[in-house]
Amino acid sequence: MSVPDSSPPPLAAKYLAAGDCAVVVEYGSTVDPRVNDRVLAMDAAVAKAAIQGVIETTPSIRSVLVHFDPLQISQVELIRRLQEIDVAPDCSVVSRRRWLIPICYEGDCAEDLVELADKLGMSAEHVVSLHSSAVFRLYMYGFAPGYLYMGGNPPELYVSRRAAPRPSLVAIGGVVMAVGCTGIYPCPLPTGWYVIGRTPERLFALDRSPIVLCQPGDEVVVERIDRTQFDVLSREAAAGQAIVRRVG
Amino acid sequence: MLRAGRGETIQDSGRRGFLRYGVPTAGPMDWVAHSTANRALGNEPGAAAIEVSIAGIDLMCEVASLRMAYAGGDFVYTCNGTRLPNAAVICLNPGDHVSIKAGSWGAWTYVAIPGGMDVPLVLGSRSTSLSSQFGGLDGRSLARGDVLSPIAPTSTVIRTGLEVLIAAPWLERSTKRVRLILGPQDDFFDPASIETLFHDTYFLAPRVNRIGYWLNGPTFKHSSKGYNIISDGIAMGAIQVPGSGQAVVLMADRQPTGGYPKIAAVIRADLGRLAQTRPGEELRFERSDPAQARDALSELDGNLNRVADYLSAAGSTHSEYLFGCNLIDGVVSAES
Repeated sequence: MSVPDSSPPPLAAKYLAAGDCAVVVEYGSTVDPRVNDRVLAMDAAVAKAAIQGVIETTPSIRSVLVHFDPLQISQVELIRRLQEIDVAPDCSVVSRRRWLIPICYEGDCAEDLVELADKLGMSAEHVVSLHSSAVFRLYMYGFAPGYLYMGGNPPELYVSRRAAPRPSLVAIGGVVMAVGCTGIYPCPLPTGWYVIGRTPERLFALDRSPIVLCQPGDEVVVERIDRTQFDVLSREAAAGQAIVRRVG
Repeated sequence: MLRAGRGETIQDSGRRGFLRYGVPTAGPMDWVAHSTANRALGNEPGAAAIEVSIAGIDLMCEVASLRMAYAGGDFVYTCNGTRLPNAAVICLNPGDHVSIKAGSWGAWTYVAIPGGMDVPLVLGSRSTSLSSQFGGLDGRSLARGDVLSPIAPTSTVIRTGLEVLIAAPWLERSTKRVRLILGPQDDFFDPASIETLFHDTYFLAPRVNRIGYWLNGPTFKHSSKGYNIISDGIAMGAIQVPGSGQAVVLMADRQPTGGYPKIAAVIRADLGRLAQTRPGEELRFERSDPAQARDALSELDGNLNRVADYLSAAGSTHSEYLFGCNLIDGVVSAES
């Protein structure tokens, strides 16, 4: 059965207990924009319904975790309310902007690029050219404040995650990839993925409103920059200027 | 702050509304003790308090008189060298020195002051997020030389020492089984591993922090579905099992999302009890369900709302009785 891309797929939600204070509304087990659309539409619908006792929601790639206070609403009643809402999720509310993020794929910004290129049996330039031409989708934030979890990697770049995390931390703005996805690090943390570039943008800034720029559902495209531009833009970002530009 | 270990942080009830941007909730490890200390002072139950680890702290009252409440596991509390009871409201004057050291059991205790600790709100909360490096005092744990003040200063002059005893039964040590609700990914586990979870004994591993409590004990076996899931949201108390088969209970500073299957989750009424476990101590689990968990939480919440019933002014019959039982030795000299 073929499903037009513009309409939500007929995905039945599963309602699963996550302890006594949270319920998972799960739409699938794949990284799929249509599944994620349903997640984001449901997340918006739950917010709109303002159900008494719902504390907050965590939308992720393929499910929404609904945190609630069981003293205000029972789990059974909450699931009943969520099922009511889920009858007609409106995917038109999902954010569909496009952002241009500058990424430097050179030198110390791309610590694992050569290793990854060897693993894939292609030149480093080819890896960069494929990666920087892709249209990514922001599926969710997770892992750390402002960590961009994106899908849309070119299939030629598929690589599994490392058996063990790299010994050194990823620098702020580090662009990592593995398992068909790309992530951008907002702060220095370990990773089991490959570091292939770095953005000068501050992806999470408490002193800026909004604290994050892109919303799940948005697309991200890359502007390739060299090491000198990286330094210039890093100084501009530190001075509070926005480096990422909205292009759609 | 005269002395602090490395695990002392400011925590209110946690940061709400920003999980979607990857921001951890933080908040207290033992919400029950945290709430008890705050309520004993008449604070909001989720007001910002100092969370003290078994490393302990030493505090000096400066500038003005101050009321202070504390509640948690078994710690050794002294004021100017005199032993205090295990949970209480005390009065301090400039120069008074409070020392808190690990006792025979428990991992955390909470120090509350009127109105809460006056630190800036970051994303709507005063909780310290160590991994995010914000909240509390510059996103870090407390250190010697830090100065903290109450949001609602004590204006009257008060006499140093014990003011009110908190004799709350829910703060006592409990060796009852920790109750769990299966899921959301129990289908990623071998059925025998689920049986084992409820029948075998686990021990808290040495690897323990605000992010998670690792368990030693029987290794979990994943089903043929493997141990990678598409990352999804994580509730506090979720028991996550990575490929190694060693489980970790995810606690206050957990990441908002994770990519390993979660076999079960600890019910909220038992989170505090779990949090008070120390490395090497035994843990046994019992299967629960949402309805039972709700009853347990409702009972606990009812008790917390009646915390006043468990307070007795120092010198009253109740505390004299406890003194007679030698449970609160040193109370008299603390007041003299």
